[in-house]
Order: sequence, then C-alpha cells, then structure tokens
Amino acid sequence: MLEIDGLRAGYGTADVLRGLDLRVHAAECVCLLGANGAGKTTTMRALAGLLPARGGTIRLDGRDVTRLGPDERLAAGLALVPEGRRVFAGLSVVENLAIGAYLRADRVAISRDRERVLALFPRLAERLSQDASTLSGGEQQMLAIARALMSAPRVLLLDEPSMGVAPIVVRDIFRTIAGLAKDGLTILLAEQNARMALKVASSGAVLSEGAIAVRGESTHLRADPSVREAYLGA
Amino acid sequence: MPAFDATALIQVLIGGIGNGAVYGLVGLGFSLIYRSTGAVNFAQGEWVMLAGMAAAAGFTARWPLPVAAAAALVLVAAVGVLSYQIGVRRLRDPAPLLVTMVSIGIAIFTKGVVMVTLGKNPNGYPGVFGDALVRMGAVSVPAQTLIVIAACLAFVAALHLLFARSRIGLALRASAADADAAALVGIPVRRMVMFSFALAAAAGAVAGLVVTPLTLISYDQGTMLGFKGFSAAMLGGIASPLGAVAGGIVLGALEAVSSYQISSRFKDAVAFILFLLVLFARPHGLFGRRTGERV
Repeated sequence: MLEIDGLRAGYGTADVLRGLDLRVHAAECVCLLGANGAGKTTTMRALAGLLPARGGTIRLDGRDVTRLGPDERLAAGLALVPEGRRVFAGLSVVENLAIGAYLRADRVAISRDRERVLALFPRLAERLSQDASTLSGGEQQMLAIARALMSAPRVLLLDEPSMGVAPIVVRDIFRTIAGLAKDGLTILLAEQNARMALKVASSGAVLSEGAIAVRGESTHLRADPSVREAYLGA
Repeated sequence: MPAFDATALIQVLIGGIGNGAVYGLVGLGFSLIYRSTGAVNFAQGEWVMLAGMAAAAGFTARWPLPVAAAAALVLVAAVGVLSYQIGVRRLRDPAPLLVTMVSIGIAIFTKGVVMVTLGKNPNGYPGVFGDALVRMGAVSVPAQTLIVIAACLAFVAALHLLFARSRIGLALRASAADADAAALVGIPVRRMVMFSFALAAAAGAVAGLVVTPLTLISYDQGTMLGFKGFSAAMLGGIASPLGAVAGGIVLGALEAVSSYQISSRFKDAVAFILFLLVLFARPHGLFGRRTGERV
C-alpha cells in the first residue's frame, strides 16, 4: 500500500535519510524504531510532505505522491499525527476535530466519524468546548490522533505518540492504536519506546544512519538479542 | 491649561475615541498579518492612505461617493493581495524579519506611486452626513466621528463572525496557531496568508475611507497613521486583533485628553511614549497573553 524507495531527505546541506526503503502493506501496522536522531521524524515529515524529498519515490497504492504537497497527500489518504502533538491552541477540542475534516465535504459522514473518534477517546467528549492548549499531554495526543482520523485516512502515520505523555496514559493510547490496527487501518508508527511499539505492531523496521538496518516480524525483533543490543537499547 | 469643563472634555473624548477607532482598525491590520507571518507590516499605513486618496480621486472624477468608496476598498484589498504575491510568496524562507523588510519596500513603493499618480495635494470628500453635528444635551460631535466609530465596530463584528463561524475563519485561526499542523490537515497555508493580507488591507481601507472626510488625506500621511496603528497593536497586544482595536481606542482617548489638557503639540508624542512604556513594561500588550517560544 505504501511503498518507499530510496528516499533521501534532510535539512541544510546534510542528508538525514540516505536511501530509505520500506513497504507497508494494507491493514498492516508497522513500527519504525531507532535511536534519537536516527531519522524517524525526518521520515515522517518527508512522508507527509512537510519536508521535500531530495531523491527516491513515495507511492501510495501505486500512485507516485513524492512531489505532492501536504494537502494533496492528505487527500490521497496519508495523514500524519506529528511529533509533539501540535494541536491548535486557541481552538476548542470540537473545532480541532472539525478542522481535521477540512478537506471533506460529506457532512453526514463527518459527523458519524466525529461520534466514532469521541467513542474512541471518551475523555475528549467531556472537554469539547475546552481550548486545546489547556488539555493535558495525554489528552492532546488523543486529540491529535482524533484530528488525523477525522480526515478519514487510509494510512495513519504516528510520530512518537508516547512523547511527553504520562506512562499510564501511554498504555491507553497504545491500546487505542492497537484497536485501530485490528479494525484494519494501515499504520506506520515511529516510536522510541520499542517495547510498547513492538507489542502493537505486527512487524518492525529499525532505522539507523538514515536507512533501514533491520526489518522483521515483531516477535522476531523482540527475541533477537543482537537487534536488542544494537538498536533497541537492551 | 483651560479650566475644567466636563462638556468640553466629553466632546474631546468622543473625538479621541473616533481617532482611536481609526488607529484600532489600522492596528487590527497589523495584528492579522503578524498572526499569519510573524512580521510587522510597514505597508499597513500606506494602505489607509491609498484608500482615502483613491476614493477622493474617484469623487473628484464625479463618481457617486458610494461607488468611489467601494472601488477604493476593492483596489486596496487587491493591492494587499498583490503585495503578498509579489513581495512575500516568492520568498524561499519567509522569515518574519525578511517579510518585515520587504514590507518597508512595499510601503515606500506604494507611497511613491500614489504621489506620482494622484499628486501631492491633500484630497478629500464630504462625509455621509456632510459636516452635520449630532447634539446630545450640551455635547455636540461631528456625525462623521460617530460614523468612524460605527464602521470600526461593524468591521470588528464582521471579522469576529468570520473567525468564529466560517470554515475559512477556522482555517485562518488554525494556520495562525500552527502553520505546519495546518498544512497537515490540508489547509492551503499560503492562501490563508494571502487572505490575511487582503483582510488587513481591507481593515486599513475602511479606516482610510471613514477618516478622510474628517482630516483630508495626502500621500505622506500613511507613515504616521501606520505608526499610530502599530502603537495601538503593541498597546493591546499585537497577537490579538481585538486587543489591537482596544489599544487603538485607549491611544486615541489619551491623545485627545492630553492634547486638550496639556498641549496639542504633545499629541503625537503620546503614541511614542505609550509605545516605549509598553515595550519596557508589558511587551505582550495590555490584553495579549505572554507567549513562550515553542521547542
């Protein structure tokens, strides 16, 4: 479904990604692991169109989206929940959800999806008129995921959903992600917390020095001591 | 110093609030562009001047006044869009300082073009009710002053509705809050910045259209109007459009009272002094929230 070939991207004169290849099949949940600075966020930003690709191709269902802007990629079905949540301050929870469906016109389906995401995150339903910036870190993460789901994506990109979130809430959020995966949503999850990520993802890829170093089933990656020592920090 | 006279003071105050409404509209323009680009748009005052000059030219050419005013409003909004398209959109990295510097260029250019095409003489046209005075008890004020205040309030109300109720208003607020996140939900962020330029220019144009019957306008008045508007925005908090309007009204009232009680020569200094006081004491403005740097 999502095919990435030889992707190169970076900032200034330095390439962070130096030829990244990755396949995510339909209804698959893949986690992208790697140390701090390995290029996880760069990968996510390049996939969402926030950062131009310097080389390689990104295809969604065979369609080349490498040169498309973020809005066109979203329309094609690629939605990113960015690192650090980035909910809209000054907009209420319900406005944040409404703006998530900015590109859609089907009112009936939008309000059905809103009910659906609020059922997924009941804590948001209690805070509909609250300014998004006053939510806790965990609630903001839920809102960021809910906002992305409001675009009715075909592939959901999640960048470090555990960052800055209380551990007990992280478990909640990962349970929800696992539920989305089980319902057949295609997910690429970049995460530093390898243990949690490998639990929800069916397979994983380890990013090192701007390319995929190891790719395999989650159970295999969890069990492989060399992988654990080299990339996952014990 | 004149003896205390309540009637005169109220009259002066209403006049000051009228000026303040103009500063507030100009400040609103500063605020809109600041929110969408982080830049201070030095062309804002020139847009005020351009609206007055263009409407006066239309009036001189015997156009009906409403037609001349509407044409001037459309022209200035178009100039706002054009300024964005030519000056800002092409920048590879539209950093706030760069956009601010570009806006200085746009200001000088606009002023020059107006001087060459419409001349150096002050121009004007009659107000909606001519020079009529409205009497409320012992107080009488020019009807046009009340028109100025009403126009300011109407513009603010319309803008509030746009931001609170419409899809594009929501998208404008989202883009101002976080441009990257806005792009991720599919908002065409550049078009929103362009739209902010159009709205800011329209705010300036409304100010110019209603103030010209009171003061006349000439090509070189934009700079001072811009500075007053900027002071208003700084006073109220440049990140808050409503704060900018409130700041303008406070500034106008203080100006009027101080020039009445102390000396009219002191009038323009009030804005400078307030501006400095705000920078020293409350850089985020009277009504603005302190904003931290996001990491």
